[in-house]
Amino acid sequence: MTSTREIITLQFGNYANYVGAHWWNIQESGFSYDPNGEPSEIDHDVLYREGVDYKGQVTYTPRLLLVDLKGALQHLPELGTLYESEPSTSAAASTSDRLESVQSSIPWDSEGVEVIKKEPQVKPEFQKDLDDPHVDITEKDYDFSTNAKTWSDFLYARYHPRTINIVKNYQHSDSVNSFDTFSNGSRIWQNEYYEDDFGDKIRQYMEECNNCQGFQTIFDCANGFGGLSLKCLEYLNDEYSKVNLAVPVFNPRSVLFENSDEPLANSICVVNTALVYSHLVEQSSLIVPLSTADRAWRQIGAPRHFPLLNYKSDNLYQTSAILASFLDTISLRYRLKNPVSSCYLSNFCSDLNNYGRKLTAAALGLPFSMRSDEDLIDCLDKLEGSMFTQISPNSKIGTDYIVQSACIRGIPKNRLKRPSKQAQRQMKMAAYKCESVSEMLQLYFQCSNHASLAHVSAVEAPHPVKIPYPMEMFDPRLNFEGFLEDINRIEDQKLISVPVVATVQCSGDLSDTLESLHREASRIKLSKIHRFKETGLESDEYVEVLEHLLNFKDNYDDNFDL
Amino acid sequence: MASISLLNPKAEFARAAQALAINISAGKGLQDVMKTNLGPKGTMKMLVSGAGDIKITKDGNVLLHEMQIQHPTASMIARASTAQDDMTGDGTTSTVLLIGELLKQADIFLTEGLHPRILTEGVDKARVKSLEILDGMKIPIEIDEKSLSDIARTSLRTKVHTGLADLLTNVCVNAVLAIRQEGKQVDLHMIEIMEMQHKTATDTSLIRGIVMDHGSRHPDMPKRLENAYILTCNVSMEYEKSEVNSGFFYKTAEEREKLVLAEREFIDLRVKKVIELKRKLCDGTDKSFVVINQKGIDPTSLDMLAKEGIMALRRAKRRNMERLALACGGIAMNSFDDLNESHLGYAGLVYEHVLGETKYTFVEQCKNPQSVTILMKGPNKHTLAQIKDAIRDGLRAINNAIEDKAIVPGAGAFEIRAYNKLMQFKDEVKGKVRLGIQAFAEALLVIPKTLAVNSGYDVQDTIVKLTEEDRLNPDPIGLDLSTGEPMKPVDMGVYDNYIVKKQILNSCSVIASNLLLVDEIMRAGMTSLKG
Ligand SMILES: Nc1ncnc2c1ncn2[C@@H]1O[C@H](COP(=O)(O)OP(=O)(O)OP(=O)(O)O)[C@@H](O)[C@H]1O
Ligand SMILES: [Mg+2]
Repeated sequence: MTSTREIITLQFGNYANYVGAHWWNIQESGFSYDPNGEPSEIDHDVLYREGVDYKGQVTYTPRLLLVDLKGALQHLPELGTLYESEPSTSAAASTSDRLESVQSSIPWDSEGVEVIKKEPQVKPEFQKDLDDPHVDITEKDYDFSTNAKTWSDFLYARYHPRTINIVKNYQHSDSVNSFDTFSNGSRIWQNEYYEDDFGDKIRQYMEECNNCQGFQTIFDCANGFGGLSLKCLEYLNDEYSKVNLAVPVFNPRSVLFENSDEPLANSICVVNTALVYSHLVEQSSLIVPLSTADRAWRQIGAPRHFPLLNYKSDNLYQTSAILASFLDTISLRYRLKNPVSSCYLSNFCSDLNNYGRKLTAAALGLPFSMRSDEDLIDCLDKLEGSMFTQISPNSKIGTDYIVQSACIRGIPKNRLKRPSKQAQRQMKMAAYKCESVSEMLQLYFQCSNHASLAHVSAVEAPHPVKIPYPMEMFDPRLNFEGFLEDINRIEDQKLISVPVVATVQCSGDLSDTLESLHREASRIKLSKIHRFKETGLESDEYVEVLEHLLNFKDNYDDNFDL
Repeated sequence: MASISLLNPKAEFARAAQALAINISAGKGLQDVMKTNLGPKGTMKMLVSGAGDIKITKDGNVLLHEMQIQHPTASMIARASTAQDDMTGDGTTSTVLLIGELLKQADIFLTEGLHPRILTEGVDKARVKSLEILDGMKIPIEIDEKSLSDIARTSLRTKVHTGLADLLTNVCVNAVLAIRQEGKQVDLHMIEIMEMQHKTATDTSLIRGIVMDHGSRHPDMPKRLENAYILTCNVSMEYEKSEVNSGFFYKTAEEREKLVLAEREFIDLRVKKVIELKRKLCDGTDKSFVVINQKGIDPTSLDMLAKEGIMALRRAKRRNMERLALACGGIAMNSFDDLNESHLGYAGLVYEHVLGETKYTFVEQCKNPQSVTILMKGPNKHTLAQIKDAIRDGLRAINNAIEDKAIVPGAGAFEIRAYNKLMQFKDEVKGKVRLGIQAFAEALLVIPKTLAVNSGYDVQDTIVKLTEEDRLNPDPIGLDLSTGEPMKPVDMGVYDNYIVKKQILNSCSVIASNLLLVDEIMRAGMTSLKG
């Protein structure tokens, strides 16, 4: 059976939507519209769907549902801009004309209609340029890291009208979040029409799928969205019992909640996170938490260090791009064309989650650091330390007893090793017998990680780097294909791609991660935080949650044989 | 909406007296926003967001949710309106108006030095008395098209223009009558509301059967079948790679391959069961076969079914399992183990209709359908949303009437009568408590007053005319919005739901009292400031 292995993606929360926006952008910068070009190794139909708009034109949009708060979309209408129902009013036709025609078509005495109009949101320059076929966006510098007010500002991808869902009861704000508790989030789902409407949209996607692999859910962990997401996961399990990859993400900026000072806000975050982790044990197939900060439970920790990246630690636009690059790379395993039998989302999850060890840690090499004049074999040979930077909070994976699923992209075949005539020193290395990038990396992991197992996928195509991706983060010494040189790249040559390696790892070290969360969470007197009780979380339920976390941690303590 | 700024005062730590003033002004602020909504001559609001999203509504509760309310008092009033909506589906504008007006009336007495406790005591007495008066005005009804149409029409005409309201009245009443089973509670979920984004609102219609927003997923499947057996089921016909049989350590490729085959065969067997039954019942007759499955059907299974001329739909809504059984007969099957003819339903016609990227499947010509579909049409999303809100209101109004087995005269008739009677009652009560009763009586008048203002009539004239006429007349008297003169709502067919009025009286007096007892507000306000 060669039918598509569709996956449905869900995004809950503002930061998750930042990550998502970058991810869809990255994928679309990799789309090739050239019918004569090399066919892509990636099967985009896994995450995208084909549709038809009201004018009969074919559309290609992410198979995605996302949720954000009121006001978070700024200039972007809820229904998106792709499926305009009114006959295409030329860009010149003013909005007031449009409103007038809407007003006159309302089934009500037209004199009795009062128009209440908010100040129109100005589209940022980038979005205006996307509408204008005469502008080449690659020639401009939009400085998103200072200018982007929200994810819709730098969104290149276009969403299906079904995709965006707004929680009306809460207003989005960058500084003070009113959607504060896990239990507040759960309540949204229980609200009369929510499950009906949202659930029905999932069903509509599902109905289109021939061979759905499952779901991937990216969500803000530390605020109300945690509760909303977990309710949704519960629903998905009841309704479809398919694999579900859970990706809780942590905003790198500490946000205050309404009517709370910093210590209180931090405590609320800890409780929310504890609730999320504990519920995920039941409701997900695999948990891959992501953050660019090293710690997350109570206070945001220091930024993770990437040798060839320079990013602002609290910049939402930049940090979310790093997490998106990870997702784009790690997911290649279940998005490849010509699937081999182990490249389903279910394999990916079940490879890692043995003994109930569903919590994993993510790590990323962005870019995969390799000199422009070097072969992979030499690069690995000379490698000191790790090729990865950890990007899961409060996690530190050692070198032994690791199970991992890694993916490397952007190493050309001819850069694996020298042909035997020129190989010289390389011939002496055990890795010389490896015939492919994946085989070689596999061997590398075998040698450097004691008693460990690794699944490796390799894709030849690199990670594309194109506006609106934050290319300013990369070290200036990278050449246009992202390989390291001694001198800076010349001004007018643009970085177009980078090699990337990503992995998801599982090991006994994660016991410490859960322990630290449990420790922080047990310190909190829930009864002192009224808003939890007010929204329906009782103290004894919390005690159970804490116990549950401890039991979960036990899965990592016993030294199972691999 | 300038008045909204009233709702966000800076002073969070208001002292008692100030808090009371703030509560009263918040109540007035909301009232100002909402009053133009009331009644069939109220103004429709068209809300345009900064990004150009359009929401059209005249519903008090919807409007409240579209506005941004931060003030604790205002959000308390908004919650009362939401509760009103949850419980009855109507009367949300009236609720806000009444609370606001009650605070206003109370303010007059409070500034003269009356203690809030005494005032609220009076308010509660008035509430009890008003409920008595309301009970006395109940008009018992037969559950028939005429009386249900009266109540639905009154409600719908406050939401869409007359022509459309009358059409929707017809649709809603017939829908409810179709699904109602004598002696059982009506389950409005058995009326599916389906939308099609094309044509105009007046093309909305009642389908005596089920419409689904999906179709068959195989190019060779029939697009139209007559005389069809309907198999409704919740049985997976999809080969799923189970999570456990992968694992990169254990199984050899062959072992895995074998497992895959075995599982595939298992699914094939299910499909064959269906095919077998179809052959037995349909082959050589003019009958046909349709499968509607809540679970998935994968391409291989679809292929097998298509070869037999069976139309198969996958991933039907959970609720459609129940609906289909009620519309077509038969039973929603959870397994095919002993599948036979008695499990199947029947439809005279099943056909597909494609609109853009959405396929619709119509299951029609059912014998005695007890589940039906309202098929809404409209040129765009906001029109569809507006009609959907109206239809929901209409259905709720009908259902309320059925449950109450009664309706009450509308057009301000109740409020006028209650005012007159409360003013008499007031004189029978001793002490200052009577001032609370007076405040309540005056407050009730906000409904007929606002109806008058919204139609362009003079408030004082109207109220004088109406109260006088009411005193002279045993029949209830309301306001004729087209003339500004008193009329008998019963003659004009203007009715409200009993439960709606009852709920308004209860919640308004409770909320207003809470807001007047400042101590309590302070506490309420404080909890939201604490963690
Ligand atoms: N034809 C009519 N003539 C006079 N009054 C009418 C007529 N139709 C309805 N009304 C009155 O209008 C009021 C209802 O108005 P409306 O439905 O706009 O507000 P609501 O029910 O309070 O709130 P909402 O419907 O927004 O939840 C009732 O008092 C009703 O008696
Ligand atoms: Mg009403």
